[in-house]
Amino acid sequence: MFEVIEWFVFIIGLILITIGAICDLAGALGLVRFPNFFVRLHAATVGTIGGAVIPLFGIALVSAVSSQLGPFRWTVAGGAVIAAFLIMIVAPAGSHALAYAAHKAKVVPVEPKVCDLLEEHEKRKAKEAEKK
Amino acid sequence: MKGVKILFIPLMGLVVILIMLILSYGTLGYSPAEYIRSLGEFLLRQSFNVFEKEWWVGSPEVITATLWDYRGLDTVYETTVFYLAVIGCVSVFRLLQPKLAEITKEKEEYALTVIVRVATKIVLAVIILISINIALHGHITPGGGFQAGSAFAIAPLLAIAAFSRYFVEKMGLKINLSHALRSLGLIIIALVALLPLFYFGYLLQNQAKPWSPFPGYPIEVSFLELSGSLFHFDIGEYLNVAMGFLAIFLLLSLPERVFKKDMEVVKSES
Repeated sequence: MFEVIEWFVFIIGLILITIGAICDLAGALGLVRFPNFFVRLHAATVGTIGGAVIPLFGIALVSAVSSQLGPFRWTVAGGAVIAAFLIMIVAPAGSHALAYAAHKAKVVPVEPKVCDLLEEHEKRKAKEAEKK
Repeated sequence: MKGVKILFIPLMGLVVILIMLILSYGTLGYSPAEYIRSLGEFLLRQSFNVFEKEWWVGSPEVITATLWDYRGLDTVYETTVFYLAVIGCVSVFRLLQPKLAEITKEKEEYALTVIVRVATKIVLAVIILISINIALHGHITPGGGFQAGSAFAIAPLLAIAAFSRYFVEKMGLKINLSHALRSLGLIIIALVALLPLFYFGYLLQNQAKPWSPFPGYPIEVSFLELSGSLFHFDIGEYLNVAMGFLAIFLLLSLPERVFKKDMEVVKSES
């Protein structure tokens, strides 16, 4: 019974690592093919969250059931989970800061665009300031 | 343009294969000459050799043992070079009126968004804790004083980018404190290096040797592993490097108008 659970966890870990590889490929393709800075930033974030955080969780699962590693498997698993959480906190904040700063400084054109809520918000604010 | 792209892909493949070949057969394999290999074998065999304590360091970390014991004088010189480099930076960015630096108490509206600030606060705590961990474990696990100081240097850099220079000073990391702690680190290194001379040992001696009267630094104090002088050297180097980088970043983040205002005083006096 216990062995079956171990195999199950092992296969889930492998699937997570495979998802990570696919996300990395998609992120790399998007980084080359997408039309403007903000969408390319989205592709880069797919590469970090999908391509680094998810496979790290997969590595944690795989190493947790690798009995040949002895007690060190918990070191590997714990390290992988902590690194995954750190990347999960840091990567979105970093890409958010990049996008926000690029939009504020108007260094990249938002073209082609469907809607730009930040620009609308700024325009509304400017109008309110004019009324006052 | 199309032809360049078609050429580019096999070129990238070639570079990747070359790097992999060099990594697996060049540097990781037996590339150094035979007479150099014996040196590495000597260091690996002797640095934690409990049975023959003639050349041992008492540290399982061979790199830190090599840096601070076998070629300790070299690392001491590196530390002084870094110290002098920071002094050079301070003298280039000096202010005639230090009070002008307080202009940078900027208003909150220039700060970045809440998302960035909260994430930075979490990461700042983690970075500082990990850097202290690297410094205090330098003689047991990979790492050491310089690596820990470099890791710490990210903290003020992130804080300046996400908040402001004023935030870093509010955290207590002021430039005068950094100078004091930097000098304290250098004093620790100098004292630990010179102490064996007073026992008629030789400079930078770590463990006891049969031909030297110095009894050697303690390898462990109750349950704490110290590895002789390596632990103290690591702390001194950590203080020196971390606070040196902090001083550089604090000076570099001063806005240009501060220096211009400072220059006006010089012009009016002359």
